[in-house]
Amino acid sequence: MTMPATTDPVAERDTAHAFACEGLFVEYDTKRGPLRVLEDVTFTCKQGEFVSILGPSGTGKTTLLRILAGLLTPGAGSSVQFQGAELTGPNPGVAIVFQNYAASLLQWRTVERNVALGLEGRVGKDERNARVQEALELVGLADRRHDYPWQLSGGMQQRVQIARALVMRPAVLLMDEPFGALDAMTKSQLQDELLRVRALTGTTVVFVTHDIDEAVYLSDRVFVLSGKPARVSTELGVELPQPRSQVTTKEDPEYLRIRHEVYSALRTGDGH
Amino acid sequence: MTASSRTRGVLLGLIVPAAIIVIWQLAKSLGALPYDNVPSPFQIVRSYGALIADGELARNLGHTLLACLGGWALGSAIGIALGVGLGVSRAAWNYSMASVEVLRAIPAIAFVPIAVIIFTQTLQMEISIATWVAIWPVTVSTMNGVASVSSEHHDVARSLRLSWLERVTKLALPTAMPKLLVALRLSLSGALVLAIVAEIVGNPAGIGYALVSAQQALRPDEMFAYILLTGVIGLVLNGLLSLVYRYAAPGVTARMEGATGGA
Repeated sequence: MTMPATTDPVAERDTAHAFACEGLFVEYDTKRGPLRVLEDVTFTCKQGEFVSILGPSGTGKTTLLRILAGLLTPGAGSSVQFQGAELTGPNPGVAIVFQNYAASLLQWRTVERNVALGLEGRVGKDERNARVQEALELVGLADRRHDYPWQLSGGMQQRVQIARALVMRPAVLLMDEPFGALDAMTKSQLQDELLRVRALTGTTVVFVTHDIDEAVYLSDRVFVLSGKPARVSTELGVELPQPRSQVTTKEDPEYLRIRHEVYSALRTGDGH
Repeated sequence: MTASSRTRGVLLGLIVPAAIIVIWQLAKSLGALPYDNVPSPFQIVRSYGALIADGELARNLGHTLLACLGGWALGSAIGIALGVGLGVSRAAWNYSMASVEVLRAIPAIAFVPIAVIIFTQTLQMEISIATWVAIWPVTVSTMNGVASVSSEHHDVARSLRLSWLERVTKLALPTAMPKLLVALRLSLSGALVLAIVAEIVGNPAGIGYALVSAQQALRPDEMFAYILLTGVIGLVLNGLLSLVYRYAAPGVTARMEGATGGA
């Protein structure tokens, strides 16, 4: 295939976008031949933006997020750029929070040592302690630092994972259905904490979920993935006032309108 | 467990051995034991006194402990290295698994005659045998543990860009730790057994040879004294190891000692 003639790579660097994907596709090898799960996904995420990727289970949302995390290589010819440069693997500017907090945490390490994992050997001890302390305070777990993950509730374990990501001071935080396994009350509490942390740190967030309310409530923009193979069927801007509130935002007619629109997009997407 | 219930447990556990000793002593004193060469508990205690007084017991104990612990330490180190290599590298696994299976199936005691030829009647010979027996449980459990690092942890390691060495020390070895701790106990008792066996059939030194010479001198009281001593060594070494585990791997042991999952 032909590549566009490159001029000056620095001048070309697209720094307004955290992520820009073009013509992205993914195929898995199965016994019955290659199975395409993502097709021609084109998607951008601006610096500082909160973007949700919404879709029914099994549409390839997690696959897309794993590509952004550099954990999975997309099909040949796909373009995935992070801050204007082609993404070739896990990038220090990108941190990921996995869905299964219990499996992702190191159960034999205390909370603070879980959070410190990515800093060990990279920054000095004093800086490491200060950053771990800061991250734990951000998620409200400073007083549980010496506990083991299995001594914490599910919501707290997920906070530890968020702290482990934040301590790396990432430009982008990727989150894979992070609150999917939590009860409704813990879920809304963590949603608000996430918005607060994001406002404090200015981190870009790419958030995968199958929960329509969650996507609309949290995001600046929502991408709906649907079809088989999945593509971005709808892109919606969410212009709701900040800071958001579980009560007033969800009563806002604009919120209801967007919610309706997302819902319709998912229904038509299913019809393919 | 509270302190008083722990004391109670120890006291209850002492009832049976105390009863056995009393019955044994009575049977011997009353002439009810048909075997002349079974000493009475009192004779055993007396021979302990003599063996301690002339320094014989301490010297033999020191020698056997050196062979056992030396072989165990060496074997465990080799086993961990081998296990990490086999667990991490698919190629190493493919090339070596057949050899590992054959080698660890050979009873360690079969190597004593050849070890005597190679190392002659020396402490090195004993250590080499104890090492050999310690290697395999540690190798196999380390290998299994290292290979069972979850896909989630692999993802975490990759996204945090941990180096190869960090993955081994921070993920693979802690994952292997519960199995490894069990294997280290197994190889410690194996090393003790083989050190004594090597002394009985190979190197004339230590507790093993003391047993043989007491037999030849027709001193069953001394034999019993040494036999009971080996039991005490095993018990003490195991207890020390548990203590080390508690401090060295608190996360693992706390979890093994009955954590009941998340709140």
